[in-house]
Amino acid sequence: MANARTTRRFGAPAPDEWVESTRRTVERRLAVSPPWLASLREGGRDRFELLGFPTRRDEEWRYSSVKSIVEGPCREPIEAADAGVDISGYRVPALDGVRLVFVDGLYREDLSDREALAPGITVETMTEAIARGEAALERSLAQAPEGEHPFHSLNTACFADGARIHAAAGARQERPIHILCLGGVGGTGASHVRHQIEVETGASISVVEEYRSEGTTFTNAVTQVHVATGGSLVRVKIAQEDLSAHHISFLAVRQEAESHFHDTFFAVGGGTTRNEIEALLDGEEVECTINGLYHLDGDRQVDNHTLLRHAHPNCRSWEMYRGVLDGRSRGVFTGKIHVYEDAQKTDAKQNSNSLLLSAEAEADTRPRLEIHADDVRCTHGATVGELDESSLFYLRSRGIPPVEARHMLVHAFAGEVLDSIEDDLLREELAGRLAASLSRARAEA
Amino acid sequence: MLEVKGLMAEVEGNAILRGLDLTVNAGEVHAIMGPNGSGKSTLAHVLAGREDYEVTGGSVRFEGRDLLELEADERACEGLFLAFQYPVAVPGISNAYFLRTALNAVRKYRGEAEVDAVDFLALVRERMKLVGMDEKFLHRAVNDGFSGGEKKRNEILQMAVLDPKLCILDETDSGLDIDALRTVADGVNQLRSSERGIVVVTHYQRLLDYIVPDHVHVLSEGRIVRSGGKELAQQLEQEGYAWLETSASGAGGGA
Repeated sequence: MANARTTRRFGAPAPDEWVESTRRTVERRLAVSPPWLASLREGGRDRFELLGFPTRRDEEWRYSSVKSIVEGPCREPIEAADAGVDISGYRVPALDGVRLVFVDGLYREDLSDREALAPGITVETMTEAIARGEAALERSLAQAPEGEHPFHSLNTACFADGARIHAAAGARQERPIHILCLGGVGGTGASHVRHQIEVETGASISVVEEYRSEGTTFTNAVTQVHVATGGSLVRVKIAQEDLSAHHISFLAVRQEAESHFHDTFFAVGGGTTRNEIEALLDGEEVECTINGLYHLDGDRQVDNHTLLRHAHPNCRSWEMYRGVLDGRSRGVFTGKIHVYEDAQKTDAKQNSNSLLLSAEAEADTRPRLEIHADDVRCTHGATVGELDESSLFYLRSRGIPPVEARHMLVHAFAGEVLDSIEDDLLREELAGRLAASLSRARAEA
Repeated sequence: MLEVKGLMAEVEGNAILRGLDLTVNAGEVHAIMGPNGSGKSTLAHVLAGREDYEVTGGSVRFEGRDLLELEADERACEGLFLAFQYPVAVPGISNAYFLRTALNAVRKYRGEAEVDAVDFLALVRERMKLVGMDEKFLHRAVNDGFSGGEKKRNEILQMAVLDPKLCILDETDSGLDIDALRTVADGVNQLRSSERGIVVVTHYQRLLDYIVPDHVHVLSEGRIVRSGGKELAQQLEQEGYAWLETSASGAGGGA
């Protein structure tokens, strides 16, 4: 991919403050990086400086307000390595097994728990994997996405740590592995995390990546997933940061033949969020599900950007994104499905639905199909609407008060995404968090 | 129980009800018949509190209270129930959850304790027998993918669970074959009691063979133009509604 890397500059040069703080961070990282990683980091830093920041004039960023991120914090927070952090509130029954905790991007052994690992499952930190001299790291960390942008380069240059999860052939872990990233502990700042999840042949695990923060933090997360032949990965990403937080994430997935990947993006927090996913269906009989559910109010925004690359025949993909938008919020979905010439019998379904709870909320949907095979089934559907008045009246005519009736209908709208999560505990946990988010928004409205 | 006096209502500026009077006492079954466009469904929806209808005159008292002052959900909690002509499908909400939420909302309004899942299930199972509904419908989304007959049975099930004082059945016979009609009518008949009033709104006399009314009213151009016993329904069946035009204009109330 290195040759295909874009070197064009985005609309706005990186401000001096960003350039300087990035250089300082990279300097600190170089001191603890082996030579191959040091050169990757320097390359990331240089590309970041070359690329600059996108503006709304850049097609892929038309609906993203990068401005608020550029004006937000760019320095790493003061090191909070020893800060007292109470994570009891995050240890819900649905997520109370293996846990890796990162505070402001740095691993905290004292808050983590790696006891309950099933045979064949390895959970380590990126720092540990690097120190161990893990052979595959150099190549995987160097991989850049199709549409590389400065945040990805920044991540490569600056990431402090992250989770590295490996499931050996045939290994199974029943309960989800919890990656908990807490921001804003050492004051507001920027943190860059890099996670890798590797599922070998026939292995099956689930991972929950959760982001929490206090204050106007900036989180820049890159997660790389590889599911080998016949492997299965269920991933849930919970974005529940401070309502003023900035969050940019990139998920890169590569699936081999007969593998399953099921992803749910669940956002009930964050001020400016960009959720970017690029999946390569790199074998036959691959199943890939990419779902999203987000609730927004105030001036908050979520920008979803997905790219599914069907490279081989007989693969199926499902995409369902649902946004509940209140206040003056904005939800964006840009979903591209790219079917290669060889990928006959591709079956791809894409759906984006937005429920507007206020007249000032806005939803934008841009489906894009690029199909080079002739025997495929690709469908996309998009709806933007308000709560259905006749349904509301029906519920009320049975004695259900208006507030509760609206609540029920919003949950019904969100339900389809939640229902696709098989884990009962996790599904109920998320339903509860959605309810809490709706109640908070209503109380503040 | 229900006292409607000189009720006038309009939809988007079109007058539909033009001074309607109706009194229903506990224990009585009233049938309201009339041709299409006479205002039958409007009456049902105005009583249930649908907001797209604007009441422009008259009064409605229900159990001594001013019904028109109440919101739709409050009317339901006070004991008024409308069985819809076109029950609304609500994907994503199970029938069981919907019914239990409704029952508990009504109980809460009345100052009664909420019903837990176990007691609710026992109650709803018993009431399902009344309308010959299979238990699997509890776990399906409300009216979603239900046939016409299943939807109407579901309406009567809701009625049986919520135990209202006054039931308004809006064209409950429409879209039903004779077997479904009979089942639904049986369900309604079992809910007849000396404490409950029932208003059956229908175009055809057919339903009234099964739910035999005490009083029959003929609605034309937003007013009740004739009232009588159950024999009036049979007369309408034989003669149709054509005679209304002459009689209505004869009474000086023509359009």
